[in-house]
Amino acid sequence: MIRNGSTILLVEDSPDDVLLVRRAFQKAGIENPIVAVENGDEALAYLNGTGLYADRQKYPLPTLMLLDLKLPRRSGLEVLASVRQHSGIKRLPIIVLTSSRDEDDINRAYDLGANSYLVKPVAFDDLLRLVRSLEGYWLSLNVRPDVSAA
Amino acid sequence: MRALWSGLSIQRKNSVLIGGLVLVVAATYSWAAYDGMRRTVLATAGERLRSVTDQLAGLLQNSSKQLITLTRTTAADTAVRAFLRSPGTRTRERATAALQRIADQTKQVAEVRLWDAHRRRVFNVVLNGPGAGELADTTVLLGASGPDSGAIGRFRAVGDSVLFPVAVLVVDRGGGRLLGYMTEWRRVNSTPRARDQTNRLIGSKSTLYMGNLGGGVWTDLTRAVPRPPVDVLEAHTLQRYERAGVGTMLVAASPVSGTPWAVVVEFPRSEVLAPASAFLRRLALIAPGLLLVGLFGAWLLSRGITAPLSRLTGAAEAIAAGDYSRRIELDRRDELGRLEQAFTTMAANVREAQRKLEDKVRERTVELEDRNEELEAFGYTISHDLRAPLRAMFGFSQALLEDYGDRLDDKGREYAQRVVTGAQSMDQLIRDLLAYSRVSRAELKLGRVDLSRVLREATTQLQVEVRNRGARVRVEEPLPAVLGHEATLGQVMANLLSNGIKFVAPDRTPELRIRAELREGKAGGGEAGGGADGGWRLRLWVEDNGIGIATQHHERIFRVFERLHSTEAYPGTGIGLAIVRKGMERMGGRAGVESRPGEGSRFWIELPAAEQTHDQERQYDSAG
Repeated sequence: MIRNGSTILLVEDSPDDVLLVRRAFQKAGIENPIVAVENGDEALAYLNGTGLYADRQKYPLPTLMLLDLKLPRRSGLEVLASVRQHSGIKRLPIIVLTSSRDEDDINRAYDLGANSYLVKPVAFDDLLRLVRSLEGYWLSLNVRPDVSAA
Repeated sequence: MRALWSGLSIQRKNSVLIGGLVLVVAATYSWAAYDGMRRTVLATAGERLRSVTDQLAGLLQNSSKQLITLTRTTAADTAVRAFLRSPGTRTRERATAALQRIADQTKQVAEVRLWDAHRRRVFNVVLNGPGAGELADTTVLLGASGPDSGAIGRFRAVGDSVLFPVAVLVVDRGGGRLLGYMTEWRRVNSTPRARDQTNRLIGSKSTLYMGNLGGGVWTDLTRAVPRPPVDVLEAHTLQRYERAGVGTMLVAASPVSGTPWAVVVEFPRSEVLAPASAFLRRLALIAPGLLLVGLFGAWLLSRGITAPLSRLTGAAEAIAAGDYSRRIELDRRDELGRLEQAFTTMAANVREAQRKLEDKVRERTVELEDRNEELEAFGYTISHDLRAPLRAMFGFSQALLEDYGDRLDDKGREYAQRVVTGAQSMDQLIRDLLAYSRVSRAELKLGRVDLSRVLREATTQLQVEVRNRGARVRVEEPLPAVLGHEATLGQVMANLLSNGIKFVAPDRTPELRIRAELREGKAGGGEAGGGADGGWRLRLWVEDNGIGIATQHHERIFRVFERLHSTEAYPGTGIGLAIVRKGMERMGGRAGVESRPGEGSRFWIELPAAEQTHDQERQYDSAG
């Protein structure tokens, strides 16, 4: 059994946003490695350790997943539902990070078991503040559950 | 009356009309028949009465002549002549005896008087009952002058009975010398047999009177009676008078020639009219029967018309209620049959039209739903997709300034800064558009909203702006509760307050006053306003000391993207007031402004007030 490390899995289709999030983490001085995948299928492949991501040494189970909702091929909500039904990784803390303020999206995300729902701010300063809070709570204070590959 | 009539069914109306008609016809016919009969009966009776009277007068004339002849025979008696020739005790006794014999034969003779040639009374004998007493014979003696003639005198009343004199000359045997006169006073006293004869002649209902032409002594042949109140000389026309206790009497009169008498026959009019009345009574019995038959006929006839009509009505009502399956078959070829056919066709058409309409509505609904989904998708796209590049612009221009700012000159930094500002205002624009779209489309459930709380929250939201401008916001508490949607109302208030703070000349301190005013209800313009019409409405005023708005712009400012000033002078997207108006309309309220340039603005919003206590009402009345 391989314990999950400190990796953060960022599921985000926009390279701009990936870059901005990475820069915000960097600016905030957070050293956790960030792995970015650009669609839902890849996210599930990563979590299940299949295909490209079979090597758990190289692609360890994440400690936290930042999940965009609007994704190509398989939406964030579908990824969420799928993870929560998977016996090994169902406890993985998942934070939705999206631009949608749509009430439907918010409620369904929580219904499907999202741990938190954050809206991407437009101003970079706000993003930086968000990343700092995220680190302070989810990476420092929060006590992590056991997540393992089945 | 009119309402009663219009409330009747056609069937009843027809019956009443036809029944009424039958009644009128029957009544008119009956009356005409009765009237004709009455006239005939009266004419016949009058004719008969007159002829009977004339006959009676003739009869009386004859019998008066016979009486004179009879009396002359008596006067020719030897004992009478002897007495008048040489009056003396002996001759008187013999004359009395002779006259006594006559009196035994004729009970009607009451008294006989003998006069000498100089009309001096020389003898009298009372034969039957009371005599003529002191009654004078002068007139009748004068009438009897001349040979062969005699005279009948006027009736005289003596007690209960009526007498009349018959005067003749007494002449010597062989003619020639006048010996004297004789008068016989006779009593009018008909025997039962005579009365029976009269009745047979004139009828038992009639009454016969005899009397003097010019005097008051009259008799009904039994006793003295008052003179009938008619003109006894008028022999040609039928007369009438009212007799107490009997009614109208028809009267015919006739003078009896050769005598100073008149005869009168009267007959009760009711007796004459009795057959006509009986006829009328029979008709009165027949008329209700006729009426009943008429009513029944009318009812049958009406039913023939109205029964199919009411079936048609039933079917029409069924269609009105949405049941198109009702069929009617009358199987007639008259107007009603055509009506039925037209109705069936119409029902089919209506059904077809309804079906098409429903199809169309369904189609439209699907279209609308599609359109709505598209709109929502569009909103989603704006919020999501449009913001992603915006974030990139914003983020990277900021990164450029932070990471490479030292390698840019002032102009380069200014350009990067302008990208940041542009991205910021676009972000605001998208946010406002989304808010406007949300206010326009969201389903608003109205409830009781505490205005004070809404206002506190709005002020908190705006605390940065309030602090930056040093604005003073004065709320005249307490604010009452209204019927509205709390989140929408919060947004409306925030926009109004933000507006009030923003549009103030830069050198002035914004001062806002917020107060409530209760107003008599009036229909609001919004789609949810239907239920609250007529009740109390609450108007909330937001008054500022800003730059003011010219009258011609008062409506414009509430439209989307309408701006009066450059974004340089007063930044904003031009959507805030559009959200205010739309939000108020969606809650069944209104929004408006009273303002003049340079004098500040008084914005107001109006909503139905939630139920008020009387204390509050009074308070707001006096405040407003």
